[in-house]
Amino acid sequence: MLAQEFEVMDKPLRRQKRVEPLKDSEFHILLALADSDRHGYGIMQEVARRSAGTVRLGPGTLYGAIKRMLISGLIEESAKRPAAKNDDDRRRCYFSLTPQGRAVAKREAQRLAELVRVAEVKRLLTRRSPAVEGGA
Amino acid sequence: MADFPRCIDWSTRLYRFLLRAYPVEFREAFGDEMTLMFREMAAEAWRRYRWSGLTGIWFRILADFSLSAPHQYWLAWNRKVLQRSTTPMIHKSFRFSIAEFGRDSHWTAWRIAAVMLMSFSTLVAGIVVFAIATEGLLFAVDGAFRLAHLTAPAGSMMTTIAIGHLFGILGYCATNWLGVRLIKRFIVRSSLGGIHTLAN
Repeated sequence: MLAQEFEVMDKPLRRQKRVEPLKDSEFHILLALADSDRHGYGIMQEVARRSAGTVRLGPGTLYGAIKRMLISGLIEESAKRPAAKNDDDRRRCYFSLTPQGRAVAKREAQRLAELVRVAEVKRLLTRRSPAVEGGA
Repeated sequence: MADFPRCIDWSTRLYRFLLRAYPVEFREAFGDEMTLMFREMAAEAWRRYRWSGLTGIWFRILADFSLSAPHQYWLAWNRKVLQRSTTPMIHKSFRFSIAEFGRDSHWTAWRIAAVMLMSFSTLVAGIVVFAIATEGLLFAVDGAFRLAHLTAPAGSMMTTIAIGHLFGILGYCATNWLGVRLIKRFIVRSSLGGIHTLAN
């Protein structure tokens, strides 16, 4: 619904926008939506949790990025809703990844992984042992 | 909102009021969601840190607000310019009609007039501003030399004015370059886009 509205509204702008490379905030949002549908506050919490609080998206930045991604077709408003606890939950808009969004996220992850590999080869980054990564 | 402390209620009302600073379409699409999100952020901060948490949230919100609101306005303005400047000549199936021809001619005449007006304004502004600035500078240097009882380097007043005008023309070229870029950005590109669409 939202995507369709913005699609009509932003068609001239859309022609000129490239989807890739993604902005940091957009990649974080794609990662947050990779495993489940979330609403705005859920996305913000997931991003903050995964980045250990280093990335904090404010409402303006978050919904600005969501608007861009709806226009680009990377995410969509989800029809499925988890069981609502209260009126606020029912009013919320849940977002999910589109197949295109998933493909773009995969490409971006591969691009970043390639950069990490180059950094390791140039000894700018030391590979962490699995034990350290697992938190043991 | 009855479940939340009064300070959260008031903060939420204030935030909802501040949302008026966003463009209408953005506010209509996401205003309610953003308000809900703010309220949950504020409630969580209050539950953990009380007043210091709420103050911290407001600092974060204001920083976010000061960046995202102008950005959304920029996008909205950009979109309006693009939509307004979309040529009416774009039709999938072209049929000649007097009314459409008149409308297109009117549109084209206005665009040409706008381009000419902008170019002329740039010419006048460029020459006047740069000539006056250069002449002022040269007269100042000349005066300083005279005060120090040295030979004035610029020679006669006519020489100074001639040099000023020369710099005025050079300044015009620089200003015109910028002006042409702006014209291309906001007017010509859209009409070329229309012609390109027709060609395709």
